[in-house]
Amino acid sequence: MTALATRLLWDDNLKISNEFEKQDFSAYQSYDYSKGFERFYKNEAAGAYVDKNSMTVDWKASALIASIFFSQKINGVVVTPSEDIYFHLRDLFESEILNYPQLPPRFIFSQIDSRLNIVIDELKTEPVDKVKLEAEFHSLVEQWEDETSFHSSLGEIFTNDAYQRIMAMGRDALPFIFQDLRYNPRHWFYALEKIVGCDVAIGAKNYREARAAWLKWGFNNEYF
Amino acid sequence: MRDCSWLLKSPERFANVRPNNFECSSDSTRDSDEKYNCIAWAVGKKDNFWWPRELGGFHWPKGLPREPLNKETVENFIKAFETEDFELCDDGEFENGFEKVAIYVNNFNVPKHAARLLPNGAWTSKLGDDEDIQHETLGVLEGREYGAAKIFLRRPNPLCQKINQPAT
Repeated sequence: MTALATRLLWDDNLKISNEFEKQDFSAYQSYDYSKGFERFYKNEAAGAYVDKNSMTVDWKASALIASIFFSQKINGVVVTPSEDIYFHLRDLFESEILNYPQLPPRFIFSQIDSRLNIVIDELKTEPVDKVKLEAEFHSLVEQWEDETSFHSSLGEIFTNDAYQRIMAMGRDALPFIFQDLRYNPRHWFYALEKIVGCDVAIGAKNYREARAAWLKWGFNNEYF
Repeated sequence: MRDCSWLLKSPERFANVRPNNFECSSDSTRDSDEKYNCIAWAVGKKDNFWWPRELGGFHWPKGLPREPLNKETVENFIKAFETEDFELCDDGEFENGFEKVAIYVNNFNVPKHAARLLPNGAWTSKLGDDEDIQHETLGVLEGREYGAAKIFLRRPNPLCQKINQPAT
């Protein structure tokens, strides 16, 4: 896939726009989680509409997704709006190329797969308001548990929208995760592995052993 | 805490659940670090959380592949059940001398849940980190979250085997 230079922007309404630097082609993406939609625009007037609620599998918004999708189009691959967007997004999420949604005003680029040769400009994050972040964390935990506690499928548990949003907080979420893990045996191991960058509980035979390994790591690294 | 009333409060998730077609049969394991899930429960175990994921704290039989999230395959699950002496069978009808399990899959044939047939003709399911329940039919839990029960396996009932073993 040809390298594609992009310029990522976000507007005052915290909608991400992804404008491609291509002479005769431009594309935009925006979404509003509270209303459950994500939109892809070939131009500002006309675009493909993706209704999250109509999907049979969960997926997460990402400006990078649009980059990949539209880069195919740019490279001459015929893509039919809506149906193929679903297919392509689903494949991308399920292949775990991209694990993190991009949520304004935070951006995490550690999951960019070099095979895709996507060139992304460096973005600066806003200063973190810890009180606000902690409140958001607890709200997301409640949503995550409500939506997945009855699932045995780690796919359902780990790709849940609220869980992914916690992962998107990156290392800022670690003190909250460890504090929660200390008192509540929840399924944090995947988020911890992705945020920390390794599985410190590898080889643990069961949940209890893995929890103990992660709590020890968190303590040694002064996360609580 | 043993309270499955949440099932009735989620008609959009479990559309077929009714007050008279299921009952709570265990406490939730939300607050316990001795976790097990529906797959473990289906094979009669409570000592681990079974899923084909390479991640410390989760169990999957040795030698079987670990798979990407939401791309788990029915074949891998069948092989996992085979390690516990199950074999494919045609349906979930009760058969004397056999224990049966059913695997629920979504529209993309991805496994989402498993249940085990009880001698009384009801099914037992562990609902993630929530309670175990007994449900009258497989259809009770079919729907948006778990998909439909489409794969059936059976093994000789371990309890019957013990009875039939010659005294040593």
